[in-house]
Amino acid sequence: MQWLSAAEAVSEYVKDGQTLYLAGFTHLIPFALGHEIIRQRRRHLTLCRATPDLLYEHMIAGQVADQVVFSYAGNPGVGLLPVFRRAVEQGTIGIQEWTHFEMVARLAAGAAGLPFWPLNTLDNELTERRPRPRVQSPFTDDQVAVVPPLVPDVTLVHTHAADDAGNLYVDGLLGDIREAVLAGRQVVASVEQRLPAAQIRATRLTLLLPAFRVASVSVEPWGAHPSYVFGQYDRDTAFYRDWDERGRDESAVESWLDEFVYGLASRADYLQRQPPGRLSALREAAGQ
Amino acid sequence: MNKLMRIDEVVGAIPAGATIAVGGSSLSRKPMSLVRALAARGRGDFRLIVDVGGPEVDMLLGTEKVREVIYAFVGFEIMGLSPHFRRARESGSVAFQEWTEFTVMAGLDATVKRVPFLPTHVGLGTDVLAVNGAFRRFADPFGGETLVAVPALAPDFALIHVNLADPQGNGVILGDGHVDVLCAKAAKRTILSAERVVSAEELQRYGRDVQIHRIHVDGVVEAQWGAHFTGCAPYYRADLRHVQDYLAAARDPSSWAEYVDRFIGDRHQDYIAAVGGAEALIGRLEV
Repeated sequence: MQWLSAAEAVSEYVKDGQTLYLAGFTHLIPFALGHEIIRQRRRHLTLCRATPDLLYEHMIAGQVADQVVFSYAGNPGVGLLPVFRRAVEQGTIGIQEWTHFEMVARLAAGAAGLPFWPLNTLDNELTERRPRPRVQSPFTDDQVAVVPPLVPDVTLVHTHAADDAGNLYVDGLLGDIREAVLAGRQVVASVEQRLPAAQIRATRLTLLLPAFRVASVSVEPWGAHPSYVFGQYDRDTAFYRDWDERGRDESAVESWLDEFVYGLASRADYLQRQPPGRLSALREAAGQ
Repeated sequence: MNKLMRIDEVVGAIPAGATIAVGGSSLSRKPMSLVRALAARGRGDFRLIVDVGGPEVDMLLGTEKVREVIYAFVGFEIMGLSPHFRRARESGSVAFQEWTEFTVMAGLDATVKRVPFLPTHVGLGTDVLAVNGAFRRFADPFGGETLVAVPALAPDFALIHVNLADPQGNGVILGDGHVDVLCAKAAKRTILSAERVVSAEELQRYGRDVQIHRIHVDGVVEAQWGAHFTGCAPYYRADLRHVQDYLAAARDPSSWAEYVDRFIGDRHQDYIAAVGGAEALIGRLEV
């Protein structure tokens, strides 16, 4: 486990053509790491994520991806993803759509090193377009539907804290985060804080992943903004709402990327460019 | 919904021949007040499923309530082997299936996920596959690799001891949950015994430590010291003095009859009095 800046971590571990899983389910979306990938102009990535939202808008607009593997795509509470939609309509990006449980089952197979994972979910319109293979149960007459493993080259994750050894800790909704970090060949993490282990034990934080499975940790306060970190800061709903209009306009998206990604050296500069009072209001909204 | 029950009602609800998963692990957080009641008054012919079993398996074997045991481990850890378990295995008087900790988890998880089996590499290259006919080797239909299929384990009941519960059946486990959550999810009916029953409002303050959720729970019994003579972290440690007495009795049929007479019944308060009363237990075992 190494302590690296986000720029160093992406430079070291994220390569063109890889399959990446950017973890985080409603909260803990790794925006700092994702923006770094855009800034370093990675190309031909396969981006996996149960719930692509604005981070994948940014990354698709930044032309880092050839394909998106997902099980829900939307701007939560607001609407569709305009950039993603445009890319699909224009055929500039491939998509592979699964259900949430299939994504989690694929990660479970990947984490266990298994060639498939059985599940008992009903057939649906997705499986009509992408039929699932079936495996004969060795015990019963059942033909059990199965999904293939998903093994990301790198899983990128943002968490509440790491201790000095690099163990990762979280609080709140886990979603697919644990499955995603266990399945990744490498885990590149950013954290809100680095804390001594003794201090973490006095909080509600629970262990997500031991350090021996972590390639690098970067300390990135606000690393999940504009998504949220449960108990630390709230979602920047204004940003999500504004994106609905901005995302429909290609030049507006480009100028936003210029201002908030390409034109900045680091996340610290990104934070400085936020509207006055915005970040402190988000802390207050989370009860901090 | 109020799910509070008395111990004798739990015993009455479990029919002869039931398959019962027991939570906890060896000398840690076993639901001993429920186990003692089943040992005394249970209808018997039970199939037990345990990941890491100990006193509960031994006691139910010693009182002849068991038809079959599915287990990864049965013993008293540093205190020694399980006398009734050993005798039953040697004489073949009871059916046994030796699994592993991971495969017990996978079998329960298969039931939770409503699939007839889960695939694994676990067991390959070991004698587990030779001594246990429950597993099947099969060829992965995609790559041809040999895998092991673990069949679903479907308990009728799960018995679990928790630190705190509310009357609706939410349960707080402070510390290692062992495989209790899987037991609760996989069983058709789950009964909790709890050191203390508190209001739902108070229980919610425990956040992620509310490991057992009410949708999986059918009954709640309040039983302070309900894990005794196993431990219930962080409240009290295992009563190793009593474990020694238990093991001495279990090794010898005439002292076993005496032990059963003195300690095994369905009245938890009588048991606590028989082991010296709550005050004495606090002095010796409280952490």
